[in-house]
Amino acid sequence: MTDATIISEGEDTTTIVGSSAFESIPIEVLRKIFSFLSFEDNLRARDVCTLWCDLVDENLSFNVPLGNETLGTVQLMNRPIKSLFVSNLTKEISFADSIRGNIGTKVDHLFLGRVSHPYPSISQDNLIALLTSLKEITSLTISPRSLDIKDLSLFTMISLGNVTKLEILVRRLSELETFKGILQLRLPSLQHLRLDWEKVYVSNVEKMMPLYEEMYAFVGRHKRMLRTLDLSMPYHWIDRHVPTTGDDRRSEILRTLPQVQLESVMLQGLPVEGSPVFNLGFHLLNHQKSLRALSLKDLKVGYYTRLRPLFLNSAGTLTELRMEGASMGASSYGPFSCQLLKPCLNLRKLTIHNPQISELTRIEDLPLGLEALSLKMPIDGRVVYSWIWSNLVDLKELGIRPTLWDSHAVVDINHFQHLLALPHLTKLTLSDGLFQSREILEFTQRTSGLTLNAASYSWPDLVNVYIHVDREVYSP
Amino acid sequence: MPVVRLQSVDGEVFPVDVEIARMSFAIRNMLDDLGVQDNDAEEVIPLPNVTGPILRKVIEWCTHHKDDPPPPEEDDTREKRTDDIPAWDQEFLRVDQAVLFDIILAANYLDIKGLLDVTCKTVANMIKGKTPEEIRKLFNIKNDFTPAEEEQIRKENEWCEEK
Repeated sequence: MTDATIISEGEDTTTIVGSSAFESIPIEVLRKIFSFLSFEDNLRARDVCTLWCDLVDENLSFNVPLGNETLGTVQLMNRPIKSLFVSNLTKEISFADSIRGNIGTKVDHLFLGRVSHPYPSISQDNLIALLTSLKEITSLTISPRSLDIKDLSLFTMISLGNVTKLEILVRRLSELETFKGILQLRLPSLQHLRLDWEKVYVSNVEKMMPLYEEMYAFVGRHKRMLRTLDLSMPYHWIDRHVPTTGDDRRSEILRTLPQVQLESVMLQGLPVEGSPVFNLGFHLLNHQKSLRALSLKDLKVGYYTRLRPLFLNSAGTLTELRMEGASMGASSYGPFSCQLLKPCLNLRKLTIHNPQISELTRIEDLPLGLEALSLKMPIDGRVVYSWIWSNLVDLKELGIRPTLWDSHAVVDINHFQHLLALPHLTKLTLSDGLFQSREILEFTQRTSGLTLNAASYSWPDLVNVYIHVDREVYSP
Repeated sequence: MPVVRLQSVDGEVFPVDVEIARMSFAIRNMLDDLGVQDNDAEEVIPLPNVTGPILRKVIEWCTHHKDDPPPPEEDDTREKRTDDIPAWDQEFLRVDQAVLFDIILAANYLDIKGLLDVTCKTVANMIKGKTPEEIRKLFNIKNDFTPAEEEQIRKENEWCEEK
């Protein structure tokens, strides 16, 4: 066991793993953490950084649980509300009556329901009252499971002119009817669409087709303003057993997908070639001409080459690319050729986190202007490090994390020296290499003058070490 | 007892009692939606966001808490306590900060309310009573305020404290 740092006890905080720990925490979890703090602690947390400040301000100014007893609070708060979480607005409560005299309250972000509430808690009348009285909503998040709506056609009558961002969070198959209803909303200013139904496990693809049709139609109706599309698609559990060709209806539906030009696309859940999700994804991507940011999750290694047309189309504009995760089993291991990225001359930020990549080939084809590079895969660190330190001279941030169980992950500590010589590097994170604590100690000594944070922990059968270097300026 | 097989992102497979796996609402939904049969022991559930070592910790926690009563429905009006972390959990969470945050991410992804609560409380306890500078140092957070903003915040906080 290497010398583990126990944070809850330690007074000495100089040997702690880097800021990445908090950076990876989703906003809703941060909110939860802050909800356990007292008012005074919230005020102090507000002073930590701008993100915390914004989050605490939300908590302090709104977060009004609408229930019978607390509706009075909303009336008193006759000032703009940054975010409003609505739940427990059942039909026994009349929002329309309670809000009288307070119409016009400005709400930036309205959250309708919660995914953690398994039952419908917002009645139809209250939903209508909310959406018609809070006129200036710019961002709307909906959990379909929370809506207690009998007549789904009501959505066709609602038009929200200020909403620029819509987010729908679906968790269960049983919510799909309501989801389909919500897709009838008219949002003429919509720029950002996020459909998160990653956790819905679909066993019957055919049943999903009408829903995909609705989704395409919704995208089509809003394509004039739409800039960002973030689709976390359901995992098609049984898809791998479904024949992938010869289905006219699928290609028919695909043709209805409008040719929308986007700046940013996030797609998750394209594991099976020929599935509707896969076809949608590639159809969409192949038509993009000026993407700036692209994020792909759960893509099989072998499918990366299918993206070639995309990299040719958007090569001039793409600045940010994320390829993350892998879906199933061990059968799809393969190499990733950096040749694919060669046309992307303006790429500045590249993230490849895919444990099923067996090796990185043609590394010399990586765009040389990269400023941030993060790799998490079973790579041979020695090859990668030496190429990086001599070629990617603009790098500001570098993270390398070979996966745990790979024997190639044993790296030569000497290569780190070279990495530290990169002139603009301000953040270096190396982790999960199979180091010995002696090596860490030596490394720490050799890099004196830099802020080095290292921490380690141990599991029964392996030793993991995180090294994290943060520095303001490098002076040779 | 029926068993499901959970596969971490790095390929490790953990056989887990169904009742324990169902403490994760994400897995529970999957099993329900799929209608997985008891004899489907070969079917492996992939968890693309959780590594083996973290999954092992999560399973350890769930195993220890398998007989707990279901967590109470969230009540936003009640004051939230953080001094009620059971001794076993305190010991269990006496881990490196990076591991603690990985467990939080896993609990969030797998939707295990009890584990998410207790880990968030642990982090809240680490924040409590500390000055902003101490918090930044503890979590290695960069102070990204401009001097003017910092002054503004300080004024606002004074104003709040007077009230």
